[in-house]
Amino acid sequence: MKNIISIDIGSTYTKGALFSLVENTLSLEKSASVPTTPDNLLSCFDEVLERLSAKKKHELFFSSSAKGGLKIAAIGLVPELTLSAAKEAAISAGARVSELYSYKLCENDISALSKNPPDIILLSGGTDGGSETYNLHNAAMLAKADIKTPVIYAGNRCISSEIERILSGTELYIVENVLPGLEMTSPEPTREKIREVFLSKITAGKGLDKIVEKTSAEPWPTPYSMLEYLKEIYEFRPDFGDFCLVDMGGATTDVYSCGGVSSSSSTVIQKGLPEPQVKRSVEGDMGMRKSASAVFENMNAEISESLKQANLPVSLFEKYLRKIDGDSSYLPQTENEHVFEKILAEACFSGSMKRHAGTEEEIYTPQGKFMLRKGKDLRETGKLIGTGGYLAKMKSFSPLDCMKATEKKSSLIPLAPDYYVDEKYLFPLLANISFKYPEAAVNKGIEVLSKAKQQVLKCH
Amino acid sequence: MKNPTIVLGVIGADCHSVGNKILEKFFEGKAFIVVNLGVMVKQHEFIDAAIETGADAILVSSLYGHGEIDCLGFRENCIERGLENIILYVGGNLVVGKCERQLIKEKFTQMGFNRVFTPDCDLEEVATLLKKDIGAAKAVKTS
Repeated sequence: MKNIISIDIGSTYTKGALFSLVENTLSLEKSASVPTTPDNLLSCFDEVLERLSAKKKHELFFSSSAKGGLKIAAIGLVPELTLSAAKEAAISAGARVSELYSYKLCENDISALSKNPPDIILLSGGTDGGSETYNLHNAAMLAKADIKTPVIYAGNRCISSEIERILSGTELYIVENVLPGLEMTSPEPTREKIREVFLSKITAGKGLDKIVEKTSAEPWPTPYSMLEYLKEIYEFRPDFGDFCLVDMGGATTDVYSCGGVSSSSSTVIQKGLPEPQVKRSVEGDMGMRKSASAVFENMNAEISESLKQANLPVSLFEKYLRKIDGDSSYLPQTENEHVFEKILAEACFSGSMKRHAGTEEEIYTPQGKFMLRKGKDLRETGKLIGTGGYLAKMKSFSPLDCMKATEKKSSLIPLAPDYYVDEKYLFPLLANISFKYPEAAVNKGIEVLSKAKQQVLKCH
Repeated sequence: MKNPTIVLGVIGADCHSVGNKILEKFFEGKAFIVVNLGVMVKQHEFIDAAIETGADAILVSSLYGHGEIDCLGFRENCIERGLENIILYVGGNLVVGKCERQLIKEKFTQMGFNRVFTPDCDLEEVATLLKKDIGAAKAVKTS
């Protein structure tokens, strides 16, 4: 028997669990959660370790999204092409994309980057053998700016050596183009390099180096670890089928989807860059606390409608928003507050899901009716998993009746999935373990999910 | 010198895909690097692809008779996006009904297309003209 401890340092809470591993089967022995101490991450880490009775001999895994996670500024050429491919690659590496720049960088962009430097700058642009002038200009602008941030170049490979020469004074890493040709993306080399740079350079700045020193375990960015884990579930357990996972936090909502990649047929025209089988999106303006006011702004029509149905005035809801904005650990007390919380969660859920899924539009042509499709088609997805603070606790939450599709440009969200809840919030912890014990972690993950009462989508 | 890059596609709500595939194979055979966007391509998609791939020319096809409406403002949009000098070709069944070939050519030339082709054109000739036009444009650029 082996003892395994997995810890995830989140921006608000640090969670951990002790598992025992017997013959490739994991059993949960104990779990613990304490508030994250951003000034000294070792302190909250140690406390969780202590509570899990760390005296016992154990193997340790950990991940972190504390201190704003991993912040990347992405630079590309055309917004829908290389910039979009660069953004996707950064997000799939577990990063939060803090800035996006298309075409030529200007002086203002450079001063914004110098004032508020990200952890990594991802420079892309041009397919292989394609555009050169924009990248050369952007590299020269970065060189002039004397920015200390590491730069990863993932653009047109034909000018790599020129980029190297221009950025000779910068910490530069050159990888394969994120978009070698318009028909194929190549995010893996960029992802791998981001992870390497995160480990060697960024852990120290985030205060994770003390933990590495003490435990000699290497940290993973939480969303990176999660994406790899979901890939493994999708691969090792084909019986589980296509699924989506929604991780709703205080500041952001992450959506992951496995499957749903569609292609052109005789009546469907697929547009846009090719989509990955396993995809992550992150919405920085969809969250239950820090981003609650932004949710109200973005989803105003939906929220106002829900408030009307619940017979509650908007002003009272706004008052509640101000309350939770000032105190991110506040939990609802009164009956009204519980309703507000539910309305907010529904808006986050449906808003993030709609942005993640693709769209479909009917087009009438002289040759008949065609469907113009963009992004992933998740309508047939059989399972939907909820995790993260609110979703883990609220088993009665039913996200399906809030995901109404709009009429004209139909959103390709799951139509009638079964809803499962990761009640103990174990997925991020199992994700860390899955790097070494994939089979055990995958089976445990599916086992801990509890199925909520099935709901059929009301309106589509 | 590297082979010239061309962006190819059928514009507007036109789903005729057979000719598009033939053009792709033909121009590849003539040593062009072909970026084929397929059918139902919008103006901005042609321009996006041309910027990203550093294309030398955009070849617009239209078969369903609405080519004139679909191509309105194409050159202006290219200028707006920094592709002032890109070579624009258009070809196919460009208008509805019977219309003098010469009138069609004039109409599209006025819209800023460098060359206009009707369905009876010889592809060999198109390839030769295209190479010549691209060569001339490059010579102007470097001089």
